[in-house]
Amino acid sequence: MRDEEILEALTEVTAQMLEDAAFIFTKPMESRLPFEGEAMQAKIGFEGPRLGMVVLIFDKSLASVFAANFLGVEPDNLEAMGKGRDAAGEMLNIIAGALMERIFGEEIVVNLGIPEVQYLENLQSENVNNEDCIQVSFMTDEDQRIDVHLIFL
Amino acid sequence: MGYNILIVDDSSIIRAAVKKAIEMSGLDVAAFHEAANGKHALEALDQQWVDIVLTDINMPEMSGVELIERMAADDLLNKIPVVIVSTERSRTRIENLMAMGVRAYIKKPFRPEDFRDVIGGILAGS
Repeated sequence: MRDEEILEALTEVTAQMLEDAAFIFTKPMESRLPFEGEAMQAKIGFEGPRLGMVVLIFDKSLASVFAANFLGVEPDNLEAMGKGRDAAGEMLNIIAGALMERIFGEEIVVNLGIPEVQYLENLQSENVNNEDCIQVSFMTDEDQRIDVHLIFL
Repeated sequence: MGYNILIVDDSSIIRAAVKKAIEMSGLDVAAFHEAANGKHALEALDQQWVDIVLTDINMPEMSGVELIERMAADDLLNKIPVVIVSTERSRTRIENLMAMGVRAYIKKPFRPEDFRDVIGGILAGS
């Protein structure tokens, strides 16, 4: 698969899974500025025809939205509160699973790792200048940013 | 009379979401039991009978695949139907799991009707 096709897959799959799993509607950002401010990062490794990882960097406020939408409750609901990290990891898990099928096909077995989630305070990241990294940035309807990186090792 | 369902996933939010989806599906459930990995699932199965096990694949300590293998090797536990609930979508993996005795596979993200159709069908036939 060519890089343009992988970029298209990354864009379409991420947007679709955010919508299907978390009811979050997004638009790809046309110009990518460095990600600034308080953010969270979730990453998951994969092993298949190629090795790599998928990384999600997102506005910290989205974690509680993921949790609430998974459960079908309001973000300030007690059941959702405190489950933001877990929900973010699962959101990435869902994106990565669908992405692996789209990139490698439905016949190929790809092993996914366990998601790791962390807070990133005062993050100021430049675009990863790595020719094996493909990335896309989204903005939600609530002006929250989500970046997704596909990195081949 | 409702069903006893064991939900196995290392994510507490997925366990809660599965529970909610099953409740919304209209299935008659007597009790939900939860486990964070295969090892805890086996401990739970040692304590109480369940009518069906829903399990993820990738979990720390003991994976869903190992859980299925252990259940298949046990004369009592191999009677309990197992359904995989996972993000992994490889047809090869699904076929391998079915060959191990898994009854069905529900992909994440899931909808209440996925559980109604799959679990309802399995339990009605048992």
